[in-house]
This record gives sequence, C-alpha cells and structure tokens, in this order.
Amino acid sequence: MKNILKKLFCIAMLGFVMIGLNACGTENTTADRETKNTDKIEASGSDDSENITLEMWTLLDQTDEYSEAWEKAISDYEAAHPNIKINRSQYEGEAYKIKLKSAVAADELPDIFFSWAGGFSRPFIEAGKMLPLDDTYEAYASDIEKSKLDSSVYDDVLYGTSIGSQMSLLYYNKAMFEENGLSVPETYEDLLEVCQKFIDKGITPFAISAKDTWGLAVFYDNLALKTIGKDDVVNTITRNGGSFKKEGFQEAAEKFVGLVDIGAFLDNASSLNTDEAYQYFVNGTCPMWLMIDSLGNTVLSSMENPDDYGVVRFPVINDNAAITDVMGGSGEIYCVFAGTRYPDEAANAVFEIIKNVAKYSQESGIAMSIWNGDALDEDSPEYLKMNQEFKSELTSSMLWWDTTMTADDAQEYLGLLQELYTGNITSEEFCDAMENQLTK
Amino acid sequence: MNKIWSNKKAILFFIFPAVAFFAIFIIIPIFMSLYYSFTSWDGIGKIEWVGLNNYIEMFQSPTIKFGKAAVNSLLIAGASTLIQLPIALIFALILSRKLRFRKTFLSIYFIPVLISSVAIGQLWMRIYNGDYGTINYILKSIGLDSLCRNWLGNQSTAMVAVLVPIIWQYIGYHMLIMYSGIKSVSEEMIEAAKIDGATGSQVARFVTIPVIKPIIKVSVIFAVTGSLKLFDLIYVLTNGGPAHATEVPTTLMISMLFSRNRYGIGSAIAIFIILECFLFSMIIQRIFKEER
Repeated sequence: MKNILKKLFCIAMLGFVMIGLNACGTENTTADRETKNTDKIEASGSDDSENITLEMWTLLDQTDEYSEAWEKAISDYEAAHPNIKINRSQYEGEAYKIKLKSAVAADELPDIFFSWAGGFSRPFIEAGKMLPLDDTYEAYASDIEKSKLDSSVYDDVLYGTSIGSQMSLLYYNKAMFEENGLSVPETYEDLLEVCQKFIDKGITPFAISAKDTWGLAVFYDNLALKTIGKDDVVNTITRNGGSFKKEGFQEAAEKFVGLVDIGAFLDNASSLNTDEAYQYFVNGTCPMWLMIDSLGNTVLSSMENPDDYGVVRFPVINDNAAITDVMGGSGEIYCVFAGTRYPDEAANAVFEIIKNVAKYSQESGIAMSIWNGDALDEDSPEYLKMNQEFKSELTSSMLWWDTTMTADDAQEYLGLLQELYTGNITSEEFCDAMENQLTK
Repeated sequence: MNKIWSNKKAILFFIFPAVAFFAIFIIIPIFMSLYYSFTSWDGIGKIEWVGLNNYIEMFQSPTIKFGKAAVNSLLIAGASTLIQLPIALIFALILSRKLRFRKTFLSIYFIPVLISSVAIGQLWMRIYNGDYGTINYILKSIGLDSLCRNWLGNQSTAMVAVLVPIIWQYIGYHMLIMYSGIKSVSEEMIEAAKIDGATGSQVARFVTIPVIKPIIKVSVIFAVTGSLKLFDLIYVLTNGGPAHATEVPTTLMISMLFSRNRYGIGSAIAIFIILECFLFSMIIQRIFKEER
C-alpha cells in the first residue's frame, strides 16, 4: 500500500511540473493565430456585445501634451465603441526596434503597432505579418488622401496610416542670434559663418547626440541631399543603380567632418542620447538644433515661451537641391498585425485613433497633422505656422536613410558615420566602405 | 534511504523534470543556434544554408570588427580575474576575522550585486558625465581641470570607464563566496599555524588560501565566463560605442540579430561565446588541477 502511495505521489509531482511548464507557454502560436484569423475572416467580425481588448504598441510619449492627445483619442474611440478596450504600451525608440523584431519573429505582435516605413517594415510585409488596409481605408478616404500615406504603401497595397508627415528643421534660439548680431543662415556658407562666430565666443553651435547615431545621420542625410540631389541619393542607398563613389557623397562627408573639426558639435556628444542632447538647446547652451519636426515641435510645445525659438529649413549648398527639397516624409506608420483575432476592429481602430491623435496633437502644437480638416488656427505657435508653410512649399521629400535602406545597410551606415565623427576613418574611407556595403 | 539511492529508476524519475527543463531551455536552443549559424536568415523569411560563410565573415570582415570585440571581452575577463577577485579575497579575509559590524559590512558590500545592472549603469553614467559628473566635479574642485574627460564618450577612456562599474558590481558576490569558504576552514589548522608562530597574513597565505582553492577556482570560472558573456552594463553605458571602442561579442551579437536582421551571423557569434566560455572553463580547471 505504501509503495502504491509513493508511486502516486511521484506521478502527481511530475504532473504538477508538467502543468507548470505548459503554463509558461503561449497560446499565441502561429498555428493558433492562423486558425483564429481564418475563423475571423469566415465569421466576418466580432459580436458587438463581445468585450474585446486590442493591444497597441507605440513609442514613448515625449511630453505630457502628447500623452494627453493619445489619451483623448483613445478615450473618444472607447466611448464610440463601448465593447472595445484599447490597451496601449509605450516603448523607448531604439529598444522598441529590438522588441518589435523579436515579436515579429516569435509571432507575438500586438493587434496594432507602430513601425517605421521604408526598408524597416518591408521584411515584415514580405513575411505576411502586416494586414492590408485598403478595404478599411475606403471608409476614411474623405479624411485623408491616399497619396499622403505613400510611405505605408508597398507593392501598391496600403499597410498603415500616419499621424503627420515629418521634415527636418533647424531650430534656433532667437535671443542668442540677436545677442550675437547674427542672422539665420540661408546658405551653407552662412551656416559655417554663423557656427564660427558662435565658436569664437565660446558657444558650441549645435546640440547633437552622437550616442544615438541617428542624430549624426540627420546631419549627413541633409548634407548629402543638398549636395547631390534626391534622385541620385535614393538610387544609391536603395541599390538601384547609384554609386557611393559619386563625388557628392565624399563632398558631403568632408562637410560633415569640417563641422566636427571646427567644434560645431558638443564635445560630449558621444555620451549623450537624444533626450540628453536637446537639453543643451533647451537650456540655452547651444543656439541650434537640427531635428525631425515631430520631436522638435513636441519639445517646443512644452516650453514656457515657444515663440522664443524659430525654425528654418536646412540651408542650400548648390543647385542640385533647393531649399524646398527636404529630408522627411511619413516615416512613422501605425499598422495592424495580420494574425490579430479582430482584424476589422483593429483596422478601424488604427484609422480612428490615429486620426484623432493627429487632430489633438496639432491642437496642442506638437505635430502637423496630414489629415483633412485639421487646420492651424491664429493662436497656433509661430514655429507650427512656419512648419506648415514649409510643408506647403515642398518640392520633394526623402525618407531618412536608415528608414529607406535595408536593416543591414542602415546599421552599417550608422556605424560608419560614428567612425567618421570620431575621426577613426577619413571621408574617403567612409565612402569606400559604404560603396562596399551597398554593392555586397 | 539506501534502497532509494540504489534504485536507478527512482533516481532517473526524480531528476527527469530538471533534465527535461535543462534540455528544453538550454541544450536544444544551443543546437538551434548552431544550426542557424550555418544559415543566412533575417529572422522572419526563408532560411538559406550557407555553411561556414558566417564564421568566415565574422573573423575576416573589417566592418564587423569582431576581433576588437573579442579582445575587449578578454580584457574584461582579465580585469575581473586580476583586480576584482584579489579585492574580493582581501575583503573576505578581513571580514572573516572577529570584526565589529562584520555582518553589516558583508551586507553593504553585497548591495551592488542586488541592484539591477540598468540602475547601476544609469548611476555610473551620471558619475561619468562630462558636465556635472562626480569625477569631473572632484577633479575641478582640486584644481585638476586638465584631467577632466568625457569618460564614456572618449575612445581612449571609454573601456576603462566601463570596466570600473563591472568590477565594482560583483566584488561583493565573489567576496561572499570566498567568505563562506574561509569560514569552513578548520579552526584547529589555523590555531596550529599560530602556535607555530605564523602571523595573520602568513596564516592567510599558507593555510587559508590553499584550503579554499576549490572555492577560488569556482570564483575564477564565474568571473571569467561572466565577463565573456557580459552584456547589460555595456549596453546601458555605451552600447558598444563610441565607434566600437567598448564593443564586446554580446553587443555585437545583439546588433547583428536585432538591428541588422542577420540571425545567421548573430548565432555564429553566440556559438563562439559558448565555445569560448567552455574553453576557458577547461583551461581554468586544468590550471587548478596541475597546481594540486
């Protein structure tokens, strides 16, 4: 009897262990999701009385005003759809890239998620992880032209939507320029002159992060565009017939190194991330900050006197690109996971919520909405009005290199740029290495 | 009880869950990584067999800079063994004496081990900050402005700057391991040595340390293998920068896997780290065996 009880006890312990191991697993296997997705398509939508939760991943809100815009938009959506709850999680940019790729590989994406356009999202689409949104878009066609969502279109299929369209802007501290008797640069020569005058007075011109290498890329991307022109740059970095041996790339690299050598950037830029770096602009240490308008406007919107700061476009270098040719575009997109259990609800939610985030964030002066009907009013801050004026004058825009390129090319580019910044390689070696990478 | 120990089936039965867990979560993933290391795969799409190409590229490619990363990891391993462990041993020897507040000191030295590496990284980033950091502040206040540096942003100082918190964090851990070993040394042996006229340091050198050699061996293995696979502190402090100055194989592996979508070469780096740790463990075992 004792032996039987001992054996039963052992079997029970083993059973508990196996149950514990099983509980650690996830029910969201690819097979499960495919089955659920198939069921979903056949069932054509959830029952309105069924309470569902949609998981959403976005980047970290930079300011309270941006958080409020999101909260309001989600609150509006939930009020209009009482049976649907949106559970939004926020993540820091660089860490989010890793999290997103892990989730794609493990088939554990949330229902709605933020991603970057261009080469970043292409592998996800080719692997069938993103839901096509053309059908859902039809209901919102009057709210936003499809051409404004071009960056979310891959092989003529729409996969996402956006809050706004970005462009890089040169933010400057008006008081510091006035105190030093300087006017805002319109050409690259003007910019160099302004930099030198600040440096002569012991003021570092630019707040920049070299630790987050995309901060350096904002500079080089602009220099290359203005030196060479959009078409040649795009053809080169997308391996579509261009060559990094073209003279303009080295010229742009030399300009970049020139700025480093004269001391135009913070000494400690290599140890600063973006959030730390822009504090030097905000606290009046550095008079200029070259940044994407979505972040720049967010930061200015939280300042006490945002009209103390002005914005201009990156100056002209030669005839290959005009002042109205800019780095930018709708590089940030919001997409739906193809394996979501509720494709109709998620697809509708992504359009409704993003539309309202665009509206509320423009009202707060954070972002420029690309949705129809979101016009600026007279009370909008000056930097936003200038931003809108610049966007209305656009002759071309080009997505950031690290968004346009494949992941491997992009990381190689950023690594080489950091080596160029630190002086480990010359501009010629930089161009040779980029050529090797893009012809691999 | 003897009946249970002699019953091999019973033994197998009870260790089976642990072995199954070990096999599923450690052994099988290693073999999966080994397989992926021979392929070209972006983590999402089709897998393509490429043989040894990933290993060749890892060692030969000038852009990956694997050689520098490997050297940095060996530097960290060396610093851990030659700096961290001696300090831990000295602390353990001092605290093993009948010292007032001994337990308090033990707890204090162990605190860094308990704190999250992310928190430690953030703390040391503030200490190293070029504008308001503690180190530069102290240097400026004693008139040594010329020694102020951008500690984490300068290629010539970044590696040393990163080593300091790495060494600091685990001194308490090794100290505790050695302390428990020292406390198990027979009191009679120590008394006999003292009767023979040995001083405190002679007792430590000729009695205590030889007796706790197996403990020291364990600490050395943990220190070396831990250093070879270190990731968290470096990721937080510098992420391998500036310009690969503090790159180690683990940061390179993460970059290849998640930033560059190159799961093949990332897996090859992972296999290299595993083999490296295994090799060093064998070497350390051999060294300590020969010394016996």
